[in-house]
Amino acid sequence: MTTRTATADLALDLRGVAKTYRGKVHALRGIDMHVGKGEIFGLLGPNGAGKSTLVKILMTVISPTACAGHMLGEPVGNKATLSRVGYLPEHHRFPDYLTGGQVLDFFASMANVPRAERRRRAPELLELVGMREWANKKVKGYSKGMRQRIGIAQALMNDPDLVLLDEPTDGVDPVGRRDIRNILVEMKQRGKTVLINSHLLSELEMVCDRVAILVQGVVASQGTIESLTKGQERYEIEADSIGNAVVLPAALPTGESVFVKGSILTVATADAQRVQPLIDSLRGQGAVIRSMKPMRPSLEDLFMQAVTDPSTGATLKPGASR
Amino acid sequence: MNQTFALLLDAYRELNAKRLFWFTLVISGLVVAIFAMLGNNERGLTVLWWTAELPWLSTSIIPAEEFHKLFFVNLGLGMWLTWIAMILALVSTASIFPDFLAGGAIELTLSKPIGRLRLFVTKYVAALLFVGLQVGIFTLASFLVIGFRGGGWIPAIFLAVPIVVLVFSYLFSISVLIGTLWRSTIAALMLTLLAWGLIFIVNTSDLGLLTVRIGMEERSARQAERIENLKKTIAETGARTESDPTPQASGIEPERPKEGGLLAGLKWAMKKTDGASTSEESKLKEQRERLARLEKRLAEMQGTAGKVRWWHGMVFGLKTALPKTGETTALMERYIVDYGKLEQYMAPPEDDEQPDLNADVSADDPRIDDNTVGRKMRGAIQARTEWWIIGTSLAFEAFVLGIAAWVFCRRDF
Repeated sequence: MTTRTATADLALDLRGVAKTYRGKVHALRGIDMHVGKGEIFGLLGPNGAGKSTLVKILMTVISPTACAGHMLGEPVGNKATLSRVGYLPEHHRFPDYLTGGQVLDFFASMANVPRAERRRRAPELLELVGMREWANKKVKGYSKGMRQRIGIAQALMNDPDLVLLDEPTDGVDPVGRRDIRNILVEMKQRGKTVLINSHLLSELEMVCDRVAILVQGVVASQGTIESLTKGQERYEIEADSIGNAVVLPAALPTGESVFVKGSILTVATADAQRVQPLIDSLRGQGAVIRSMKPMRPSLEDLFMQAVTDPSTGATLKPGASR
Repeated sequence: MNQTFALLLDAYRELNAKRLFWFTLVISGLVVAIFAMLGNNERGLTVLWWTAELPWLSTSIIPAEEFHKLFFVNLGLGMWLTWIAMILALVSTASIFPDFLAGGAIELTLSKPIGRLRLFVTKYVAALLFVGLQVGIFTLASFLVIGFRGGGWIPAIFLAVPIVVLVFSYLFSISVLIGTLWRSTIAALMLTLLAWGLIFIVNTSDLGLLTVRIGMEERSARQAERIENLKKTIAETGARTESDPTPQASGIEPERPKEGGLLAGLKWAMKKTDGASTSEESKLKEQRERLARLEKRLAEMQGTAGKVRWWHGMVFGLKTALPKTGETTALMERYIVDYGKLEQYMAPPEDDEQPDLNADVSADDPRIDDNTVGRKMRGAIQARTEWWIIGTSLAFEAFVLGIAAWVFCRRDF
């Protein structure tokens, strides 16, 4: 009963998703991952980690070697479920002979959206992605960013419960990226689930509730950014006149280590109270405190940790394993 | 229904965007215009208001309606629709599947709630529908031309639409298979044209070998007849020699000596009697030698005919497995051209004496009448049923499309 309730709250509940291509290339080696309804979920990983393969399996573009998962409560691979899913593939290519408006209409028709609904939603979405004036122009005249905007609009034409976006900000300028972020936030507010596959970690960090990092076909880590960085928080203190004149302790009285690099002192704690004795000591020795701020590892730091071999410290080779 | 309509609309937009689609339509219009300009009257061929004095094309030889029908079958269907428009249609549609399956395009379509097989079949049928549209427009225009210019309204010519679409579908299935396997427009087009060339070669070989086979069989039959006749003659000669060994039998007498007395006279009388007998026997001997020669030739002919039959059987077997583009198109001729009527017009007058081709009995090989061979040839081709022509071709198409659909449904994109 607990499992059923848990599954009902999940937009994606994947267990043991594996894909081995011919030539024994193991693109995915048993992915266990869950995405809650109403979440913005980031899928990260180096090139060849299997992110696009996983998304394509969900969209029935690739058949899995093994998969025991559910998407929107239905088994993965169920075609009917796809009418409730929006998808923007990486490096998508719309037919050159269609206009932006026709692209929306065609793919919405393919998703079984009734004609009246298509007519109502197309202008709204074109407006949302800032492409209304380009609706009647052929796609072949669009820039990469414009194609990406139209792509996002088409992914939303069927008012999906789940949207899978593969590199949605690829080729989009900073203004466009902000617009896309706003769209994602608005979707979340409307209770939709979004799964984004992107290399732009700073973008993801701004919007994602949870992330999963894929490395060589397996999930290296997943969870909220807070949970993934738990235990790695620190305080950074910037102070002038830290030199030979100032005597610094190697650790706080409570045991946390203190590192110095130039004018920056880093204390491995998330508790501001514990840093106070160090500040008192610095001030007592005449140092000027310029700033003190809590820090935690960025998504990039997490990513780099995930793709680094802990035993050798070397970055893992990109690509799937054989 | 939403999805099917969307795919059909998309196919229309895709073809509409290709200039070749409109180019083909314009050229079709020109062909029909030429078709409308030509006609015939009691003096010969007419081009608009001018008449060319060509009596063999006059209405007394070919009635106006038959003239336009033949023109439609031979030029409109046999030349334009079967060859030129077919090549243009193959060029126009060769990119449909490679473009559809291109990376970045196919993912979006496959991610929609539509089964792969349905997607594949709808895409295939959509291409056929637009070829049907082109042929339909051409046929409608031709129907009007035959009606107004030839004075005959022949709805049967609309059979050209399914027939041409059918022929196109045989070839398009090859294009689809190659396009699905390699996702290359050039490969799809080139290999389809190559396959079409091979089909053409097999078809030509079939017709060539069939002609040779019928000719050989006809020759063998004639030879057998000649042998029978010769045997009768030999029997008659033999009987005559036995029953009437008189000098008169030969009709050739040795010359009587003018000198030499009684002895010479006796010798002449004996020689005269012996000569008559020798002449009849040599004739019989000559006929028997001739019979042996003819029988030897017949055996050779039958041997060659057997070899031709074997080769024809092989080619025919191969042809059975392949699509029959030429014969499918030729069905149209069966349906709308009345050869009985045409032969009636073109037949020589009844009182004309036909030369006996085998009057020259000295030749070892008999001569055969080309018209007889032609008639038998037409009979043999017409004996091939529609079921055989269309059924085996569709079986080929289904097999090729089945492989393409299987690859499409199983492939990871």
